[in-house]
Order: sequence, then C-alpha cells, then structure tokens
Amino acid sequence: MDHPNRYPSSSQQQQHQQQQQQQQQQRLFQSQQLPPPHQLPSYAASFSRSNVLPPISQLPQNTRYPPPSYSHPSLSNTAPAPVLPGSSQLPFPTHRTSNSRDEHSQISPPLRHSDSRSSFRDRVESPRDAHHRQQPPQQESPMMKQEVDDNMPATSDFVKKLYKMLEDKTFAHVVCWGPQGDNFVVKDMNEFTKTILPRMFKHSNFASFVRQLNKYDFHKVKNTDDNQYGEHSWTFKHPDFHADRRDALENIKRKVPAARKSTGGPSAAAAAARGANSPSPSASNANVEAIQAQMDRMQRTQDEMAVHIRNLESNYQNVLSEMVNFQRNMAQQDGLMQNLIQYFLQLENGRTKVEQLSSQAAQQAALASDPNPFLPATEAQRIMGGAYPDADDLARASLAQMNEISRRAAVAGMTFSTEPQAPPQQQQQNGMNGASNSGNVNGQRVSVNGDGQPSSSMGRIIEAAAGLLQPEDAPVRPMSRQDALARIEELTRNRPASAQGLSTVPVPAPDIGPSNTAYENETFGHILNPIEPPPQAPGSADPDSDLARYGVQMNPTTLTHEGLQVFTVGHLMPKSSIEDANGNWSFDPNSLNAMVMPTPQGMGGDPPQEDERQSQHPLSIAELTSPTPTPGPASSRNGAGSNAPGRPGSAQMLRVRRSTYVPGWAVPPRVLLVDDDVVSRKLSSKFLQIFGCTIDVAVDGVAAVERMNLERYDLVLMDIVMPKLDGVSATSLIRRFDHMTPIISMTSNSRPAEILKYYSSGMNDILPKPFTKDGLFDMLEKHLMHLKVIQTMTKVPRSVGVPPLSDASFDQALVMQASTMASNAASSSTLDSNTSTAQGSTSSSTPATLSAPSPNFSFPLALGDDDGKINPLAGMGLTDEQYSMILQNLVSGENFMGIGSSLDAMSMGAMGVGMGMMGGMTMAMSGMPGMQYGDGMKRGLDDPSDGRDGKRGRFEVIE
Amino acid sequence: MFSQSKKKSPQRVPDMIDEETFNQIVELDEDDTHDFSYGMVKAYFTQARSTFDEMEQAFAAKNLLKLSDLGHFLKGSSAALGITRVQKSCERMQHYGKKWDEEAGSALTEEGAMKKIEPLLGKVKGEYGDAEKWLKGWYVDRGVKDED
Repeated sequence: MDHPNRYPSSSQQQQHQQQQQQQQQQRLFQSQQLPPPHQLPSYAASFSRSNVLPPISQLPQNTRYPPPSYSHPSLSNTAPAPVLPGSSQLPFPTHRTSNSRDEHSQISPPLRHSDSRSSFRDRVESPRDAHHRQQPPQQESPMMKQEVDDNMPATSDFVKKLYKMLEDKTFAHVVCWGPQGDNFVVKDMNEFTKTILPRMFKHSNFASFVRQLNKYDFHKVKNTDDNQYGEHSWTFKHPDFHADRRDALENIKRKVPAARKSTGGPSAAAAAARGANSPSPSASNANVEAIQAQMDRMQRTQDEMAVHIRNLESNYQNVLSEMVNFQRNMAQQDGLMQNLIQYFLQLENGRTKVEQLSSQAAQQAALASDPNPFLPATEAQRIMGGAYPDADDLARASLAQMNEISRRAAVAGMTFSTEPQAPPQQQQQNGMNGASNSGNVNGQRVSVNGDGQPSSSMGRIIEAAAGLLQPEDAPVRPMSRQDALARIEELTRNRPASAQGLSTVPVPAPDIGPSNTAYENETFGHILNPIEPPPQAPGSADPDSDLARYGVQMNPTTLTHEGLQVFTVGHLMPKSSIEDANGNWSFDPNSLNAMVMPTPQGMGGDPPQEDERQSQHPLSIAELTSPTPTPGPASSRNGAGSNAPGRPGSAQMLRVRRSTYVPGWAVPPRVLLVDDDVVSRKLSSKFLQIFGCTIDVAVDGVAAVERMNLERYDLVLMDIVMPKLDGVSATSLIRRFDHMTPIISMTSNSRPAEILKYYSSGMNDILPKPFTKDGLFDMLEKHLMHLKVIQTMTKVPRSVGVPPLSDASFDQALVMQASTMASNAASSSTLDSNTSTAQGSTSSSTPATLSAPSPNFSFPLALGDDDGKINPLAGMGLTDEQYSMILQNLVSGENFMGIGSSLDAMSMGAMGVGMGMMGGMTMAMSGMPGMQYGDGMKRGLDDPSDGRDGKRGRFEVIE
Repeated sequence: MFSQSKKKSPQRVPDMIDEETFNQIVELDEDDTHDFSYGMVKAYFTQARSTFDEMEQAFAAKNLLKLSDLGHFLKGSSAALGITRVQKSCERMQHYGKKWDEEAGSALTEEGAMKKIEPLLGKVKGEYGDAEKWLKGWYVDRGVKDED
C-alpha cells in the first residue's frame, strides 16, 4: 500500500515475485539456522512488546524445556555473520518486509500465531476465509472481506462443494436439502462438524463454515416451531441455491465487503480475483486495489511464515543446546565411570598383590600347598596410592575382602609359625618368620579364628602386606598414609601396655586404652600393619607366640613408621538398630563363640546398632579366643578418624543372622522411599535396611519432591496412589530438576496403559506391589549396579576365573590408567590401547589365561602406589629405562598369555617381560624370590573359586 | 448386611492369609522376637480401622472415587502382609469405586457401584475381623504380648 506503484499491475507477476521473495527468505532461513536476515533483536523485541506471539526466547522455555538450563543460543552466542546488517544487501526489498512486520506485530492480537498454521491449511480451499482469520480485527471488521481471490471459477469451489455435498446421499442424515429444495439443513451440527466438514472442506470448524456461507450470502433461516429437524438444526438459504437449479449456482458469488477501501468496487475486486475465468468489468483502479490487498495478505503470510520458521529455528537450537548439555552430562558420567573403574582396578591390583604375597607366605609356613584360600587382597594398596581420598569408602570396600582373607586363612588351616625375628625383607626367605612377627602384632587380633591357626595366617597376610609395602615406603606419602601414621601414633598412645613390646600381655578388655587397640584389632581384623615389621623383633622374639597372639602388642618402634592400614571388613552391613550407637563394644567372655562381624559403620551411615555378638550363633566362624574386644569409641577406632570426616564410627560388629543380606555395596545406596501406606513402608524399609541401604522416607508426593530437592539419592521407590500428590505427578515434578536419579514406581496397578503413563512421567522402572525381598533386591541391583562394582569385580574372577577385563570400559580404564602410569613413570613408551584391549578380551576368553589378569591389574596399581614417581623395580636393579620397557611390554598382549598359562614354569629368568615386571615389583616389595612369587601367584589365581562359596554358606546358615 | 457377612467369613479362614507372604515378614524378625512383624501388623490394624472409618464416610457421602482410593490403599497394606481376602475385597472396591465391575468386565452406574459397594464394605470388614483375630492369635501363640 505504501508503494503501490512499485509493482507491475499484473497480479500474476506480482504474485510470482512475491512467491520468489518468500522462497528466498525461507531458503535463507533454512540454510543457516540463524536468525533471519533482519535485525533479530528488534524483531524479537517488538514481538515481546506487542505480545503478538510468544517471545521467541520464551516459547520453548515455557513449553518444552526446563527453565533453568535454557539459554537461547541464537541470541546469546551464535548470532553472527549471516545476519544481514542492512536492507541494501537483501535480495528483496526489506523495507517492505520490515514495515509489514512491524505493522503485523503491532496490530495483531495475541494468540494469532497459534492460528497461523491452520490458516495456511485452510487457505487451500478458502483462501479468503483463512486470510480473514489471520487478519487482525483492528484492521478490518470480520465482515469486511478482502476482495481478492485468484483461481475462483465461475461457480465458486465452495458452492460447488456445497452442492456436491448435498447431492451426496450418504450425508443425507446429517445435511440435506430442505423440503422445498430452496434451502439446506444441517441436522446435526456436531456430526456435521466432525465428519463432513473435514471431508468436504478440510476443516472442522462449524463457525468458519457458517461464516463462509455468509460470505456467499447464504442466510440462516430461523427455526420455526414446526421445524422437522429439531431445534438444533441449522437451515441455510440462498435465493440462487436450489436443489434443481444447478445453473443458478453461478450466480452465487462471494459478497463484496462493504468497501474497505473507498475506491474498490465489489465487482472489480471479484473480477480481479477470478482472473481469466470471469469477465472483468473492473476499472484498473479496483485492480490495483485488489492487487495491493493481495500483496498485503501475502506479505503477512510471509511474515507469519518467517515467524514460524524462526520459532522452529529457535526450537531447533534449543534442542541442540539441550543435546549438548546431555552430551556434557554423559561425558561427565563417563568420566565418573572411568574414575570408578580405575578405582576398582587399583583395588583389584592391590588385592592381587597381597594375595600373592600372602599365599606364598602361607605356603611356606604351612607347607600346605593346597587351595589357596586367599583370594581377595587388601585395599591397603589403594589407600597407599592415595588415589582415593575417601578413606571411608576404602575401608568399606576393603572390609569384605579382608574378612575374606582372614576366613580363608582360617579355613586353610595354616599354622602359625611362632618364630619371630625375621625382618620383613627376609621373611619370605625365612619362611613364615616374618609373618609370625606381624602376626604377633596384628594377626592375632583377627577375631575370626576360633582355633588360633587362622589368626596366624592372618598375621602372615598382614605381614606380607607389610612387606609388600615396605619397598614403597616413599617419602612422599599420600594423605591416607599420613593418616595411617597418625592413627598408629594414636594407638600407641592408647596402648601403653603394648608399648612394652611384649606379646605376653593380653589386653584386658575393659581397659579403655588397650581396648581401643583390641577393638581395632578385632574389628579390623588385621588392622594396622606397621609398614616395617622388623622393629618388632623384641616382641616377636618372644617365643610364646600364643600369648603374643592374643595380646595387643604394638612395638613402639613400628609406630614410628608409616603403617599400612588394613581395614578388616565384615561381610555384613550394619543394621540399624538401637544399641551401641557409639560403636562401643563391651567384652563378654561368654560370647567368645559369637560370630563377630566387624563392619565399618560408615557403610550405612547409620549408627552402629547391634551388639556385637550373639553367643549362640551357630555360624560363628570366629571365636574370640582372647579377651580382646572392647569399647572403642568410634573415633579412636577410626584412627584419628581423619579420613572420614562424614562418618561417625567406622566399624561395628554385627551378628550374622539369616535375614541379613550382603549386597556388597561400595557405598550404601541412599534410597528415598515414598509411600503413604505405613505397612508397606515398614516392609520396604526393612528390606532396604537388610540390603544395606540408607533410607529416607516420604509419605506423599509433595514430601518426595521436597526431599529430592534437598538431597541426593541413588534411587527412589515411589508409590503411585498417594494423597496430596500422586507418584506420577511427583515424578514429573522431580524430573524437572533431576533427570538422572532412578525412580521406580511401586504399584499394584500395572496395566499396560498405566505402565506407559509411569514411564512417560519419567519413571525408570516398575516394581509391582506387593513385591518380595528378591524382587526389590533385583531392582536395586539393576539400578544401583554402579555401586556394586566391587562385588562384581571380585566375583567375576572368582566364579569364572576370568578377569573382569572383558568389559570394554574396563579395558578402556585400564588403558587410561596404564598410559597415565607410563607417563608418570617418565617412560617414553606409548601404550597401544588396542593391544591392551585385546589383552583384556583374550585373557577373559581363554581359560588358559586365567591368571593373566593379575599381572595386568597389578601393573597400574604398583605404579599407583608409588605415585608414579618411583620405579618399583629399582629394588631389583632395574633402571628406569628397563622399567619402562617392561611397562610397554606388559601392556602388549602376548606376554600375558604366556604368563597366564605358564606361571608354574616361570622362573625369574624365564619370565616374560610383563611377568618380570609384575614379579619384579612384587619381589621388590616383598623381597620374595621370583620362584616363590610365581607359585604364590598361581595359587592365588587358580583357586579363586573355592573358598569363598563355602565361607559364604556359613553366613547363610540359619540360627 | 454387615453382620451377615461377618458370620459367613470365619468359615473360610484358610485362604484368609497368604502364609508365604506372612512368613516372609516373620522371617525378617530378629532375635526371636517378633517386634518387627508385630509392629507391622499392629500398624496394619490401626491403619485398616481408620481406613474403614473413612470408607464409611466416603460411602455415606457417595464419594466413589474416595472409596476407590481407600480400597486401593487398604489393598496395598493388606497385600504387603498377605492378608489375601481383605486384599481381594479391597481390590473389588477399588474397581467399583471407578464404576467398573472387574468380574463382569463392564461399567457400572453410580447407583450400581454404590449398591455393589455396600455389601462389600461389610464383607471386607468381616474379613478384616477374621484376619485380625487370626493374626492376634498367631502372636499370642508365640508369646507376644499386645501392649496396647
């Protein structure tokens, strides 16, 4: 309108041009995912100001995306080059576009936008109507029609369709000619709207249909009383619309609006619109008017499309950014997983090492060659490695393993050698001497042995571990070592008696000072291992090992060394109950037979609950043979408690009871239980408690959402039907801010439709009610696998005899670790991840290579122990270069195969390089001869599957 | 109506309790006491009684949805303890409350639903009474004293 003369007078031409522009613009938008060419900011601003459309940046935010994470990418960062700064660069007259756009944005009423799509659709069959609906009311009154319409034939499509519809007998029950044939009746408006409108007129808006009728000058006939079609029928009439007068249809024209422009004549407009088909009597003036109107309309359409496209674009970008976020999260998760894996790998390594050492020691001492009971190793290594700041976790994780070791030792029936005196370095060579030394100090406190023998083996183990650590006693200690030291010192202080260094002094239980030690010994089993055993000479020199065994002797000299902290871990989780909240134990001589399970209290984060022993327990694998146990304030037991700030008491003893299950979580899962039914809640809580979970309870959906807001949980068990807020809604709410935490619905309504609803609300799984203990546990295992890795790791090699390396992620972690180590060790070797991976898979796939994993595992671990700064083989006289070579070879697969299958035959000289490294390291640490090492290692790996099951069985016996 | 069903129900005691479920719970007890299971059972008693009261109120108010919810609620706790018959009746009430006859697989009118619920309410109370008796007896047999 502003520039009527800009355009040629031919409407076709104009149309064409317009289309071109439109296409161009669209293409521009599509190709660049970016704000359209004209000033994006002002554009957006104008929209938000005028409220025509949802502001671009808000539309997605409100409708699809959680608000907090959202940022409009195109506005914030990208916005760039493709935006054409000035209209001069645009391929089409921008001023028009922007003009009309402004106009549009200013005058269009809110909510127009939602119409736009459907109006496009409508336009197919009735452009006019569609356009009309797009038109803001301010611009023209509803009854003011634009006069432009192209492709309208002599008889308008609409009228033809109308006629056709009435001729169609299948519609007769809904719409038909009136009795006289001079009108038609819509008998059932609803039916008409639902079925006929969509079929005939491609929309389902009755009002729109009526409006259209009005445009063609149809009139509604008022219902008379005698209306045969009922009061809800609609009768329409047009003088030229008769059932039998087809020819008259041509006379039915669209009404001409009441002169929207002062100039345009109706007929002219109509003619212009109709094009060639209808004779055009119109004046050029009208023609121009029509064209302008049409152009306006197209312009508006175009703008609308642009807006629409922009919305799509912004949506798209939001999706992109969302995806990026997800990816980042995934990456973080991956990182976490890898850390975990590394963690566990190290753990495994440590275990392997100790295992080897201990097995060898055991062999030597007991001369009993058979099944080596020692499978798992301590995590002391890990602690030493300092890789894991959270000592609590360590302690927890190692609990089971240490316990296992001790029990195995007991089972193996190894006898304790009473000969003390050997310095750790020599102990290997001397047989079990060294072990006995340490046994004096630590081993006997293993509460697990009823016959005293196991305790000795325990001592050996400890000794071995100590020896193992010795070589590594590097100046730079990770924090945990320091802690250990501090703890040792504290222990010393607490144990004047032990300071005497004489093993002959059993520790009286009630005495607090010693009791701490005793306590520790008992609970931890093999507690604290002084790093350097030799100093024990005085104590160990005492031939009376029996006495020594039960006493808590701590050689003062040992205390000056940084010690290896071995946490003995119970197999049981702490149960929450009332007693012993302080983690104190009182010694009851009568309860010597009791099965005492030391457990880190930290496991559940619960206060220690149970009194430690139950004398009548048939299962007691451990007999307290010495008057040891006693109140240890949790803190003292924890050593300075330094490592575990958050965890109050660290250990506690538990009775083994049949209902106690041992899931073996690395960390007690935190579970939020949401249920309004107190009975179900009690039951579920009980189950969860048995499974070693930490439980929080919410009684309805609202409380659940609040809790989720406040705390982090590993799992949510969600009832569905609850007062206030049901589980599905609560889940939806939670999912707005927490996308990850598994939410499991507990429900008795498990029909498919409902299940679908649960899942779509964001729930991860369904646990049908009533569930059994096993059902719940399966669910926990399924969704809390990441908290169970330790168990998995120990299990896999045991049962299958295959290292847990088959998993690709393990391989990856291994490789990662290996490379880290390598670089730390200043080795120039580059590790080929492929080979390493291959290693993992081969070894796991071949039975012959059962033992292969162990070198593999210990490799990174050993390095880790040294913080990567020390060449663990230095003790063997290997240079750093050699060391790195070994590393390199170690990582390449072939050696492992050889190692795995030929351990027996292996001698120091014959060792493959990888083996050499492994053996060398171990030897360096333990002072073991190579041959012995080989043997020990083999046993450790070969017999993994025996001991444990048997042991386990005990725990499952019923009282 | 109520009294009638009360009289009837005791004869069908065998399927009143799902022993397996109940034993599972009892197995969770520790120390040869039945603190845990008895605590649960008592909680159930309390909850069931109050639920019945609410059912009566909802019934008086012809609040079918409420009845359905209550039925669902009590069904859950009954199922947890293995109190099978109460559980089944509650499930029926849950369906009736939604104007649905599960057995017939057909929809009910509001009146029809109310009509069905009325006897059911009596029946479920009777069933509950039996269960309570049985459970209390069980604990008495084992020397558990009811403190309240």
